[in-house]
Amino acid sequence: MTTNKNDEFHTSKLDCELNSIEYAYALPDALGYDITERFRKYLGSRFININSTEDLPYFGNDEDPILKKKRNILLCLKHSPYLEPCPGTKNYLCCGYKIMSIVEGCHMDCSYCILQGYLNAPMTRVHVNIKDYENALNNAFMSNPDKSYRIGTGELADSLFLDELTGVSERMIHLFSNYNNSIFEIKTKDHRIEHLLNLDHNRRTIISWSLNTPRIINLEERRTSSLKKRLEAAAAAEQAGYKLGFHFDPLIDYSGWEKDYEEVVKRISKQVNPENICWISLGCLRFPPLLWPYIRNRFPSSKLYLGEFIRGLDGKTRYFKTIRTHMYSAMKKWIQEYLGKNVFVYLCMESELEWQNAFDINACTMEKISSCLDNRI
Amino acid sequence: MEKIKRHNFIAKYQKVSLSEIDIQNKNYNIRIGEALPVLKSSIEKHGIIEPPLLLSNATNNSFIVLCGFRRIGILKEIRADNIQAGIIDNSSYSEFELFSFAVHDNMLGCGLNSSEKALVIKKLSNIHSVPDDRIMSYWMPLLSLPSNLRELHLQKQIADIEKPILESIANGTTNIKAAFLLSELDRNDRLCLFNIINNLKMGNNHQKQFLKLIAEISEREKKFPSQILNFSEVKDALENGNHNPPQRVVQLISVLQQMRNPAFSNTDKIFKNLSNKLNLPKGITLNHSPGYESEECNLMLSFSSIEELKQQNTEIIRIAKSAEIRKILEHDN
Ligand code: SF4
Repeated sequence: MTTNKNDEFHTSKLDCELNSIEYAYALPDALGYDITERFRKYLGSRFININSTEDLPYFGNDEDPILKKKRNILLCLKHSPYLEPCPGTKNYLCCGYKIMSIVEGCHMDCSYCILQGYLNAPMTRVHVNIKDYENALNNAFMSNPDKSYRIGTGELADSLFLDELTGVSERMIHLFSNYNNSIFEIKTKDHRIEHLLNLDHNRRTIISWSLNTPRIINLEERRTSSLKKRLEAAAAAEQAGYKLGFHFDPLIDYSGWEKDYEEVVKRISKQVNPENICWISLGCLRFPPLLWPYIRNRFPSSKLYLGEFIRGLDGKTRYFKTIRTHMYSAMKKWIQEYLGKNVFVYLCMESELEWQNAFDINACTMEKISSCLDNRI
Repeated sequence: MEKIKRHNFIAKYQKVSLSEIDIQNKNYNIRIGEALPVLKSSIEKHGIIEPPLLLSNATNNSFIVLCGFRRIGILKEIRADNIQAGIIDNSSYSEFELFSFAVHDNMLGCGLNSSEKALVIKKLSNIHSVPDDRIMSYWMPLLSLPSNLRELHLQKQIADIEKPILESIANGTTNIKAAFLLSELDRNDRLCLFNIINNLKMGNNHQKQFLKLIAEISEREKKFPSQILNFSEVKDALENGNHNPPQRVVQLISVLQQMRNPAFSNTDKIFKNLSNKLNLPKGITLNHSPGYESEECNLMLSFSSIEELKQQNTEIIRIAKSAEIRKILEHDN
């Protein structure tokens, strides 16, 4: 096992996250790994050895089972595949992204978060066998030198959750810095990135922020960093030489969204140099209908329900197409106006029809989107 | 604070003059709504079978009703002089014990309606200071109510709404879920919307649909619910002299749905106009993709003879050549 400088690096971000954890439960095969031992060291009596997942507590009868799941951690191993295609969604175009779910779960709490509906997950999972992920990545990159890879850790988690303790980003940044055919994306709503600023990344890592308007952040994204802090962190990452990404996902329709979202784009332009922005994605609010009760019960002041929704071709709840078209084309216009025409903007999980209506791109396919994004790396 | 001893209530039965009973004192009254007509006819025919229970009020030599408000009300209405009643010595029991007895007695009788249950919850909490967790663990299951904080809060809210609405819940004309929605509104809005529900005699589903639509539109438009009723389309639907109340309800709901979903309604209206102009014959229907999410349209044929099928073939060629179908496809894109 390698030693990690995180053993000495105990910052307030980590303190905060550790304080929010009630217990970490370690399965027998997870013992002995660096990450497991660090959890043991920092959590003390809140670290519990278990023999199997049957020993885990059941939170179903708790007043807020989702919150309980967020606050309890299962330390376990991940078995192959380590690198998975982004789950995508039926009948909508995906961008060919690959995901690594080393951590599954998140301490932040967004009303629209689809992880709330993942009923089968007993609690937040941390897969401690990072070495196996690293081996899988090295194998993939070396055996396919002509193929481009865009890989991220922020699909089923906030990439920076417990990051100082697990050391995931640091290890990935180091690994990706050795390859020119791949790029690693950290996706976050956190501003605390100090632990990443002095790493040797060789511009093979993009740090991306999911952005929204201050109103949405206040109303729908609990325990996330403010817009101001996210943008300041982006500026710090840029200073440290990282490429940047921004994800306006989910875009939320409310009265006054135009002014607010335009302002966010304007604020990006004041904070960072558009030349360092690798990509900006846009995705209107969408989620499986089974999420409604969670939103209603857990976020009584949420205003998401006021949207004009239809059931999409994939069965998910989405805004009616003309609303999406309007939002996407307005966002694209502001991005071009404030950040210039060279910033690459793409739609996340949208229909071919939407690419055509909003971006005027005919017969868009997953291959086309994927190759445009690959060209950016 | 709730504290109850285990003992039997002992009543001494005696004849009491009705004029001595103070029916204005409603401390133990949890009845809302009219007595069933069957109760009145039974009393007229057979007299009182189950004597009411009274408490003696030493301060003014009168009696307070513990159980039997409706029976005594009917006797007063039919101008009876006196009644055989059980008198309970109230010095032996706490206020809470007496209230608890009244609730159990009413439940064992003809049961409690939704308004009455809400009133019980409110009295337990406000007058008898029963803590919320005790109400949830004992009283709500006893009243067959789901026991959680949200429900408890809603029950208290319902108990506070105006008497005509409570009576309408009690007699089943206002649905309890609709009442929850009404209880969230300001008094003025609540009464305004309640009058519409009442005047149009809306069914349960329409009540909920109507109130939900109004609440969402008013939230989106940043207007009071009663202001939404002043929109011309809504007024037209409410005042349409050519329609009977059920037809008005249907028109009203459809107008509100259009206001709630303007983008969808607009696209839908264009589609329907164009497809009407196609003059589709019987047996041919044209549908858009669900939610207009894809470019596909769906033409459905139904026929029962070769002749009909041949006829439809000619129609399909006509449709394919029409300007309307082109517009439909262009608009869909
Ligand atoms: S930050 Fe992402 S993963 Fe975390 S709660 Fe919000 S949406 Fe879910």
